[in-house]
Amino acid sequence: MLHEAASGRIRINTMMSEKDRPNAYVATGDVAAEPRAESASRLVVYPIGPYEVVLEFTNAGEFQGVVEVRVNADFRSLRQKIESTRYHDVDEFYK
Amino acid sequence: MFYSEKNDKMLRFGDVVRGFACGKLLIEQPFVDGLPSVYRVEVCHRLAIVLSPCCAIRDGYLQLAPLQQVEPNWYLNSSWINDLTVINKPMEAREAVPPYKWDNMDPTERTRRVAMGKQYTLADYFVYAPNSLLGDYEISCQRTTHVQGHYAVDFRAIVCVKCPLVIKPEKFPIETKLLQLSKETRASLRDKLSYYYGKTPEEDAL
Repeated sequence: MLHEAASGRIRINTMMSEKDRPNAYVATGDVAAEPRAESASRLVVYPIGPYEVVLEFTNAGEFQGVVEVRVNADFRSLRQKIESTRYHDVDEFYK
Repeated sequence: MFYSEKNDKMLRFGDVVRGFACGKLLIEQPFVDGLPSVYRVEVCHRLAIVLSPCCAIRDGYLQLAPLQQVEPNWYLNSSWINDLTVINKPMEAREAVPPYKWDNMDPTERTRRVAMGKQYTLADYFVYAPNSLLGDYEISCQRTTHVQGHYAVDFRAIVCVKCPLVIKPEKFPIETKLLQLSKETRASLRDKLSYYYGKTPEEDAL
């Protein structure tokens, strides 16, 4: 399952192999859940309604605890969101 | 879930409605010399999409766009065939281009496109998922006929309709409302329409 949290924040692939898990984090500037590549544990984000619960597991899959509960929201302004968006110009391919 | 399981008793942004004719005014040339030019009004009675923000539905004014069949050439992209609603959200460059065009693209151009990451494509359009209330139709692309249930709304075709019975979102002819988008789909429509109107041309970027 590929879960994408609030736009522009963090993406975690929970189905990656054990070997690859430390690289499963794509840092996007979110300081709340930084990659912990050297750690023997991993963080998994579960969206629950308007919230996200960050859980910590060992690499063996043992539950360690709740690390954080946060609001699942994109705090960028509408202007920031629009300005960070462009579009793929593909009209020529569909004529 | 594309549509809401149950319709609210109020008119909402993104609703599929019937009974409101969408008119399009065609002129041969602008009336700059003060003389009336030749013009034509085309009226379509198809289903339409409400594109007024909910809070702007009042005093009889509604912004609508007709629900239209999808463009046959979208079938050139085999990755879109099963679910055309993918164009409602940002996608990778590779998904936005028909596979055979992508494979033959100049490597430099391909790299430039990949570097853009996930972005909108076909920025003028938003696709509505199939529903039994909308019906299916046949569409032909490259001598192959497909049965299609997706419909599209073209933001360039937005028109204003004035109907005195549309007083506010909670007070309108309820029998006109056919389908309501789910909260998530409505957010996608709002995002794409905001992008359509809000994008800054390069020459205006500060």
